[in-house]
Amino acid sequence: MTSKRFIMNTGRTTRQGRQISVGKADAEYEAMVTTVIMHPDDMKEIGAASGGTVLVRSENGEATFLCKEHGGKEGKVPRGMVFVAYGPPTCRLMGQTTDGTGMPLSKGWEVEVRPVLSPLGPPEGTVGAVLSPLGPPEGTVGAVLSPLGPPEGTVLSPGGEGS
Amino acid sequence: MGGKVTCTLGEVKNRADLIIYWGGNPADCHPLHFSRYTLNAKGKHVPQGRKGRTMVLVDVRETPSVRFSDIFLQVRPGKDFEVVTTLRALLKNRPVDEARVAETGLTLEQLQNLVDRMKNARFGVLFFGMGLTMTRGKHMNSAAVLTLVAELNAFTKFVSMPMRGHGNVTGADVVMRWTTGFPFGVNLSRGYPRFNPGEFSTIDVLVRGDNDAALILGADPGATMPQPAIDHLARIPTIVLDPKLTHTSRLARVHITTATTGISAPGTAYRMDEIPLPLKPILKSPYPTDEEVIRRIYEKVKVKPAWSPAAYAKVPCA
Repeated sequence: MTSKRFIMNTGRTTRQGRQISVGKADAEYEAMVTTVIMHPDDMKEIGAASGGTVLVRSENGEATFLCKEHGGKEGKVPRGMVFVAYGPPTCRLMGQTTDGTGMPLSKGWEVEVRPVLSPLGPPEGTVGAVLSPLGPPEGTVGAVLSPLGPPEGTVLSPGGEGS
Repeated sequence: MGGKVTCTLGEVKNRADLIIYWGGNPADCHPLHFSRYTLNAKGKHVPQGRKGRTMVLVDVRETPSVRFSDIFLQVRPGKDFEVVTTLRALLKNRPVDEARVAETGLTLEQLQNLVDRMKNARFGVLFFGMGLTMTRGKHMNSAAVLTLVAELNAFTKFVSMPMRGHGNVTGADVVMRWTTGFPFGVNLSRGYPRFNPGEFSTIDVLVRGDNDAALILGADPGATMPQPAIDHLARIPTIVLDPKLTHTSRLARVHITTATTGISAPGTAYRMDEIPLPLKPILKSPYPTDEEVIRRIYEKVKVKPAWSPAAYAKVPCA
């Protein structure tokens, strides 16, 4: 097992777009934004298995993702590139300045990818496959049931349409 | 720089015989684009529909849109600007270094073929997405594409259009434009609009920590912005108006649930070609509309005395 540098490409998917309208406090949304799509030869080279966990590190931060071989509904990536749907984990990795444009570099930045060896999950302090900032799935009120709990002083009205 | 030569999606539907998507994945992100406006739609001057149109896709990866395209040009990441510049050179019969073209991941023959198709099209359209505008080069990539399209009008009718995101992002730009003269990154703190991307744009303000409060309306920066911006939103009083709990709601002091515009609240949304569409609600909601909440906040704020440094100085320090 080894690490390798890749170009990270982020984007939207149909399922993700649909899930945004349904609600983000959902296991399906969580799975989508914490899965990295890779070329099978690259996975072989770094020793990552489909369904395994990888640590992705950029100059701005790091996050863990579940690894998936390309070729499904998300399309294919060329060797040397990884693809992830936008979400909280990519926020940790993306550019933090906008170079005077108002828009950060959110596609095509360099990252290092390496498989995570521990069977216990990702290293402490990383956001990704295991830890959701939203907490439990839809139907629950985040402020009460979230494992993280709300920031002090938070006032949350029940979410979702009543109709 | 040639500005944006553009048209409505209705014109695209009725006239376009060459459709180029650059750095966009409509099959995934705009699933009705093909059927309503571009590939499969039968138009007044394109009665054959799909058979009467050619689709070219330019992207760095094989997205699900590839299978809908006639020609797929896979560009090496970060080389879009070079490809556009080469196309502009070929358009003007300027000499081009074949070895430099090869660095883009494409061949000179592929680009010459594309230029020939563009020049010979009856009505061409270039849709560009975030794969072009949010990679290295950013606004320079956009400017290059807009210039290419403007220059193509010396040969035939050619237009361009950005593939805008979900919701009403076009509406936000359009309304800002006709109210302040600028599309985004506007500062009104002096009582008149000042425009300066990189200084007054949201991410820059948040990352620098310039603001001491935030009102988030119909957006989820907690799931899309750089982490330092998210951390700042968690530090300051942040108020979120949204029909659903979002990542930003989790770090906000207050989340106000509102009715969903277009489903349980009326409103106006702008299509990506900047055509305003009235939205009629089909359901009733127990929650107030965004407009109602903002109006009520505004009425409360309006009766408060204006803030001034002199008044602030009279407050005794603890």
